[in-house]
Amino acid sequence: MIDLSFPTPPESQQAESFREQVRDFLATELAGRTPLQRVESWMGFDAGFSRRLGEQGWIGLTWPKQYGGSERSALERYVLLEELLAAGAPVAAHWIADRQSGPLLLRYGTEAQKQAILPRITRGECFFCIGMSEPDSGSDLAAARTYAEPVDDGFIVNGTKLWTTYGHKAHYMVLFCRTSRDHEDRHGGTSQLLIDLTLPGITIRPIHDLSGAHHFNEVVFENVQVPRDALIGEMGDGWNQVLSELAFERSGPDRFLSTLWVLIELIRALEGRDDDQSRIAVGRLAAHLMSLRRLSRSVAGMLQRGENPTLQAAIVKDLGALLEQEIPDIARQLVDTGRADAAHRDFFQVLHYAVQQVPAFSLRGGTREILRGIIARGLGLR
Amino acid sequence: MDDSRSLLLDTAGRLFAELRETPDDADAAWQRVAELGLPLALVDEAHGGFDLPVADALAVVRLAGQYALAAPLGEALLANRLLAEAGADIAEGRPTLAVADPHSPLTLNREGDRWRVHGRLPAAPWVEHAEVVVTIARHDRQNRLLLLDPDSLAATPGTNLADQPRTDLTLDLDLDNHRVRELPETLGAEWLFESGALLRCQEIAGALATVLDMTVQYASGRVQFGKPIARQQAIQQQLAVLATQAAIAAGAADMAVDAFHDPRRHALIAAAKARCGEAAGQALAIAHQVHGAIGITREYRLNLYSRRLWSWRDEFGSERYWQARLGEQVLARGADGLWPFITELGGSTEGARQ
Repeated sequence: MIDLSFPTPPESQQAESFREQVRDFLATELAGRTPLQRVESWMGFDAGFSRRLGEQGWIGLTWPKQYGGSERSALERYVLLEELLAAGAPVAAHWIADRQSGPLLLRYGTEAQKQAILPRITRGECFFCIGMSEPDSGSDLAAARTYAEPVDDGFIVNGTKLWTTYGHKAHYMVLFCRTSRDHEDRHGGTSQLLIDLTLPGITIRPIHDLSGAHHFNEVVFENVQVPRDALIGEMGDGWNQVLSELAFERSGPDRFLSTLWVLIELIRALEGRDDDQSRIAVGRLAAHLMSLRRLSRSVAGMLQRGENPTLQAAIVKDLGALLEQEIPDIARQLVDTGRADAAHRDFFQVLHYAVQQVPAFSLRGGTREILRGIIARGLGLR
Repeated sequence: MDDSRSLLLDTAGRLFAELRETPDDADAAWQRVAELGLPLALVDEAHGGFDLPVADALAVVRLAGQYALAAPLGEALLANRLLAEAGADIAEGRPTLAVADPHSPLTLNREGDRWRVHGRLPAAPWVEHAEVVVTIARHDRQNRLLLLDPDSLAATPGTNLADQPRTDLTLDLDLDNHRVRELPETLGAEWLFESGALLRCQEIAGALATVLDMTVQYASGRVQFGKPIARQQAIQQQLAVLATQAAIAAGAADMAVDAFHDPRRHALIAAAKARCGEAAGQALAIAHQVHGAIGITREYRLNLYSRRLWSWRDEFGSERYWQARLGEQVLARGADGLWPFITELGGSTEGARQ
């Protein structure tokens, strides 16, 4: 029998009382934020908000206190993340550092790297971007060509990274690159470097998305001299390190709550309607949300116990993207979008924003096809 | 998984595997299942049961779905539980249950020193094979368990798509006092309908696990264009989607099981049954596509599962029914109540561990 089991998600009274604390904080902090701002979800960037969250001790919530963390449980962190997302808080500034760069450094970083970087992340003062994709290397991550040539005192980096979200506002990048000329060794010749984005030779150029917004960047490295101590983990271990990041990246509430605010504004637009079509459609979406949230919380429990839920994380992300993408479509079936009604201005604004964002949901963090490939491998098919 | 749970599942699994070889003899199957005492799994020790945690007892129902067991084990589990709750003798043999449509409940009235019950119990499972049929009605703000004698009922026999017995019962009869027993306030007709939906969630989750297994195995063995079709990316991607549907159905069914004692079980079971039903449809479409023509033959085993799944998703409330019930609650809470609604239900798992 193929084992796709998701263990019962752990429960914690402590996490539930923390939820109230987070809600109180956000109610004050986000008062006056419009639905259109809230639907930006984890793409909303506000350095001031991240600093104030850091002051609460809520960035790096689970990290050791010696690095500025709060040593709280993974469950409390899950509650914090979902409450931030559900409230539409502008979390983009610190999101990547909190979700994957910080945990990567905690696991593989040198003591000096941890002491230098992690406390600044937890204070909401130090933002990260991810240097994985390249012009000729998207889903095929191992085809990355950016080359960090090992020299006596470090590395000389040349190459181009693409689709670098908030690279123009980040302080550091975790760069996935080749550190060997042996192209036969697709996986073994790769490493990860901690790149200070102020180094000479780095050029960051904007790429506007189809809505005209600037999240993406192209980051070009031209003979960038990087010190030896920028290496994260082991030389040649880049591929394995990246894979270990992905379960953290793929199973969280950010993988199914991106259009929650479309659903919220849809329910507002449906107020006063009393018809089966609305009940059935909204009930169906709620059923999907509730079921998927259970699986996602189950993966959080597995991560907390130090297990490696790569397969389960891929399942959550694949189902999550479908749900996030479906919500605007279903909303359009319930409200006549051919007749924009001034009374439902917020609804139309969040809908139109979301319609332009949803194609990204099954691309970012691993395309739908890559995820299904991972699941197929889990089934023993590849 | 602790020892008593795995012992129970191992024992039950061995029996179900054996019974799979003679799928048509329902009476023999039920006999064997009863000999193991499985229908008492949801009953506490004081009433002759095992005192198992609810989650363990209901795991046996998922296993029955996984093996396409030709006996109403889930129905018997619930019926025995209700008999025990009502202080009635546990039927050693074959109890089953029946539910009225939630929109037209039974009417129960006192007439002299007897009871009079009136109404319909559509598609009651396995009535012809049962010694007692239990159902729940309400009279004077009191839930009551009715113990019906199958031979005394006006019955129109039928089957579901999987040839499982489903009989329409029309009730218009007098009942002696010993056949009308008080039940606690929490155990009303709605509770029974929800619990029936929960059984079907478990069976759907079990059956989908087998459907996934069969389909992966078939694709790995079936050679076309010189290689197993499982080597084709197009097939791999479809099998991955099938796996996601099996996984979400199992997760949704777990959610329903954990809600067994939860006062908010209505919304949780609603979500679970709606999601399991949808997963069944999507998963079967892929399973049949990958199997090709062999999958649509009566001889090949896939139809044992697909016909059950197509039936189970309709029984005890279809997707449409439960989505509407859940949607009603969500809409009543309003836009700003959506997220609190979902997190409140996120829930206690204590219920099923009792």
